[in-house]
Amino acid sequence: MKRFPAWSLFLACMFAPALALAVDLQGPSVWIPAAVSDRGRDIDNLYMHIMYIVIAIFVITQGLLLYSIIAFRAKPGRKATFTHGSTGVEVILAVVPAIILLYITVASVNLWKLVRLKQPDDHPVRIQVMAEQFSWNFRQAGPDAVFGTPDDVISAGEVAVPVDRNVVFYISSKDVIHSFFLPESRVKQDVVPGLLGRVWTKWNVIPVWDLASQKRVLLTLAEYEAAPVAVSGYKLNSEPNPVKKWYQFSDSARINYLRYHYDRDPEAKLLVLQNGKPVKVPPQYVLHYFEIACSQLCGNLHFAMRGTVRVLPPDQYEAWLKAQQPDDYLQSKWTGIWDKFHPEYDRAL
Amino acid sequence: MSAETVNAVVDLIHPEPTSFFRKYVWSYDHKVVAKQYLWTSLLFMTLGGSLAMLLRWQIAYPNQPVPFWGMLLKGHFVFDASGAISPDGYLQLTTMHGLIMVFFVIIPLIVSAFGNFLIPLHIGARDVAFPVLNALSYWLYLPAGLLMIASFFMVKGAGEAGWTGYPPLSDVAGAVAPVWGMNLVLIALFLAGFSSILGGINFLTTVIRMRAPGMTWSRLPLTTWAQFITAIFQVLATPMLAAAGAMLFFDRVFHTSFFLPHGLVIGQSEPVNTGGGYPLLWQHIFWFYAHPAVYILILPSMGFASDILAAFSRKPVFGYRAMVISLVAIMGLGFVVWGHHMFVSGLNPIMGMAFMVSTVFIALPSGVKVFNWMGTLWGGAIRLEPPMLYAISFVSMFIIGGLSGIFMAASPVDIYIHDTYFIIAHFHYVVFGATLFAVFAATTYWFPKMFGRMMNRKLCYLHWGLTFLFFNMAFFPMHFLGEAGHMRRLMTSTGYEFLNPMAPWNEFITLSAFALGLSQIVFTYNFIYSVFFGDPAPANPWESATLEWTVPATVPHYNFKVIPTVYRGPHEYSSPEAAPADWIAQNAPPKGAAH
Amino acid sequence: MSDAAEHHVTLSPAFHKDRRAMRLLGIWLFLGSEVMFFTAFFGAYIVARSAAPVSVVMPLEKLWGALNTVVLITSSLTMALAVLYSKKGDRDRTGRYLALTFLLACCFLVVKAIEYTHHFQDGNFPSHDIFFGFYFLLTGFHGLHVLGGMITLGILWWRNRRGDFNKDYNDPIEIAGLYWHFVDLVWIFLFPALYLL
Repeated sequence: MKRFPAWSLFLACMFAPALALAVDLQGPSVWIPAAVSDRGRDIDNLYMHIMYIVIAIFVITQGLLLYSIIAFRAKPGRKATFTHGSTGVEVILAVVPAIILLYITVASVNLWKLVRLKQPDDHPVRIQVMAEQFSWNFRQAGPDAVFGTPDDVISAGEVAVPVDRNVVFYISSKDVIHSFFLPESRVKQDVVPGLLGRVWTKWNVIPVWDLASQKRVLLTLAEYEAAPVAVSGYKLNSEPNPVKKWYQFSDSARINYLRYHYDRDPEAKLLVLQNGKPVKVPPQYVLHYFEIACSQLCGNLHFAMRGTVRVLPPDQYEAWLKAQQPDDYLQSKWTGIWDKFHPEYDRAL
Repeated sequence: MSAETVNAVVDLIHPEPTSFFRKYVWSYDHKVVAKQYLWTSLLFMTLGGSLAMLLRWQIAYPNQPVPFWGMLLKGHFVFDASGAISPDGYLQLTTMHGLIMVFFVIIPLIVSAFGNFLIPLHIGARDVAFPVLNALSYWLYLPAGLLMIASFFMVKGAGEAGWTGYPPLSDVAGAVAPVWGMNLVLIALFLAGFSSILGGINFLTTVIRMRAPGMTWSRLPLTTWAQFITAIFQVLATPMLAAAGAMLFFDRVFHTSFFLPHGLVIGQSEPVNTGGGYPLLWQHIFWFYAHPAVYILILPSMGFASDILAAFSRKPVFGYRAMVISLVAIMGLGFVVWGHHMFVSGLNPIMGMAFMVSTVFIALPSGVKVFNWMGTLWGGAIRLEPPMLYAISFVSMFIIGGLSGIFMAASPVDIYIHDTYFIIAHFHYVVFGATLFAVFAATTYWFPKMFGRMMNRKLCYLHWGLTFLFFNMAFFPMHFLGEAGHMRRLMTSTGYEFLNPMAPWNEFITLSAFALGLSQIVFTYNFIYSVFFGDPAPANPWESATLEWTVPATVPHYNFKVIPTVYRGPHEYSSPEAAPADWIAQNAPPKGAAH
Repeated sequence: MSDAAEHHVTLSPAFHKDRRAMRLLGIWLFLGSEVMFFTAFFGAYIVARSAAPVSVVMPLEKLWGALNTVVLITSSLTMALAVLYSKKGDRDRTGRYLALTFLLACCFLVVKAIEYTHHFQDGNFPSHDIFFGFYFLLTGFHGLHVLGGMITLGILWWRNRRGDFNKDYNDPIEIAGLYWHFVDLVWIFLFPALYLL
């Protein structure tokens, strides 16, 4: 039999993932967006624990596979060992993974309880979320803390929450199943029509845009207070990134890789705050936001079902609440659908 | 059952056909039915793969006109007026790619095609238990597949609610554009499911009642064992899909409300359905079927790999008993883990916890299998023939697919990666990486028996190298997309700032996927050329020990002239009994026997 | 039909025994599959009913349902007798009881049709509410099974008349019997679930 040096090709291909890794990126080199809540960091922690275990198993198993192919290749005179297996080895190879899996299970159960079962009760900010094809509607109770009253604060596509406070979202849908996904908070929950879901999180950083580097940075409340931050007067723009990669084979097929930047809005009044007071210095940061995504297929414009959540210092949060002027159309969605069909959703709070 | 009786059964049921119609169209011969399934499912694979190419184009180059096809079909099919893929078209592509690949490619290919061909040959039978049913199940499958294709030509196109078809999106009028496209898909699935159930009944009866003398349960080749367990899944789980599909069909056509709650408002209007149902009900029934279906997609491949690894390592399978027990364990656990698809779906978190525990522990039997495959290689005399190379790649890819599954089993982590590309990477590593490599292994391994000719070795090596490389380049980076939170079924990610850094990866994946698709031309050419012009194969080119290799290269109509008597297990390679050869056929009489 | 080729040939009892075992296994597996099919419907129905207010009762006429129950149970009996006599090789009686079973099945469908007409006249279409949805779903699929059974019975009656079956070879009737008892059993569950609870 003619021998094909297939193992060398096999060896080369084993590194295909590594090869793929080596392709440089234009964005951050670590893909996981930074977690912005304690529970989010817990999830990342568990993720990394599993990752270490998995990488170890991956290297051992694939290595052994490769070693076997090379070491036990058929050669003239080589005879295979005649064995039907070994119960001892089998038992060890079943028990060791079982112990590892048990560890993962216990860690997961404990975290799952925190994330899904222990709803915070320290007067959290309560926000109703009504999903529809293809936008997010939000309602906050307003000063009287009762939903379904005229002083409710209603917004669509964007919601504001205060930093360092627990926020509970009461989520439901008016049409199909959506999924309420806060990537940086590691929160995701399907929004099912006819069901009232609850998720909670606590943002402990404020997203701002660094005007010098044109990048989003995350500040704690103390850091935010100390720096000059523009709370109005800037607008976000985007433009296609002109960088061309070696594998982009034609100009017509250029990907829409966007680059975002803030520019001074000549028509808006500029207000820069530092330590809670207006200052005249040029701002270092502009208030930015986190994104809300829909992660369950919800129709043809699913890809466009994006929302934003502004995490604000307490004073800016109050200002935001006051500034919301909902129109009758938005109001009618709440009174005409949420309150009409599911009155129990308000009682459930 | 006595050998004499078996002979009588087959002689009577289908004497060798003489007309073209009875020989190739309405054939009762399991080998012909197997080939019908093989060719049809390979055709569907071309279709399903092409759909994937189109949707990959859209993700990498959003709203750019598709070269050639977009120009040709402007404003038709899934294209908009500019020749780019429309939002509805994109969803139709994802939906139909998934449905076609699962129900019309992988299941017919690994279960119906290879199961039909191999089970009777493996157990020393002349045909399956119910040959008429067998023909019927193919002729249910084919029209079902044609209905799937027909759904593209309905007004506003094919189904577009994802292959999981979650209501209300798949259910209520106005949520998605297509109406009859979706209904046709449901009818097609019902037919395909029925075909699958009939096949399962056939295989179970065949394996239970038609084993040759001496073919005890502990001497069955592992392929047949895997097919047996798969058939149990098919018989007991598939009716659940049929039931769910029927209810959805009722909702869509008769406006019942099984899956629709009160108070739905689609856009500005309330649907005609009165409501009162439960969207999650569908998910429970669907996943009660679809999780076992995931095992239908992988178990036969595990069987192929077990037999092929043993044959080319020239060693018995390491821990045959453990292999069988793990199959049975997977079957048992497979029915109680469906909730892990629903961790973030609104399922009660306490239930989620229970499902997490059962899910984590279904990794154990799979782990046992991986270790046993490695044990089979260890100490062998490995012949790196094409089937072996494919089979080892199966193990390698299955390890990656299995390990990424652990992340999802840990439900808190799943919250983040659920419905992201991490999931896509995971199941493509299992279903494409593992199963399709096993299919390539099985095709190259049994090709000589199926067509009496050999495939070209060099082209096999070339195809393996290209596929292995480009498969990993296409699907491994999807893990990174998932880590970045990139949602699945997203026509374009350009709208999201947090996904913007991932755009180059999307392009990289698309180019790799195109290369992967093109690489399959090598295999297609090799396959078709070898069927007609390949070198004539010897009866047992791989020196394998199972029964199918004891019959002539071109298998006669009745498989076995005399029903063989089996004396030993399926993988007695390098047994001292066989010396000086390193293999001994299952039906070779022991030395010193009366024969 | 595989059996069509077989009936012309005289076969040894051993052959029939093996073949019978296969066929019985096949039909039991098929019935197992059917059980799962109806289990999905019943499971969904139980979920819907248990979440509904206690006062909700299906507005169905119990009398018609009870009548149909009696009809189906009787048909099960006649079917059992047909199987019994076919085993004894009594072709006339087998045929008679097959025909009787067929007629009872007709009765069942006629009663069902009357009921359906009443529902439609009252405006109770499947879309009326979730319970009528389940009612039509369950009885509809059960009715389809009855219809399938009737076609089988018709074919068997005809084949019996032609003389296909004898003492040694009567598996199709036995299998059809098993199937028919299953269809009957489904109704035994349906009747209380839909009419009484």
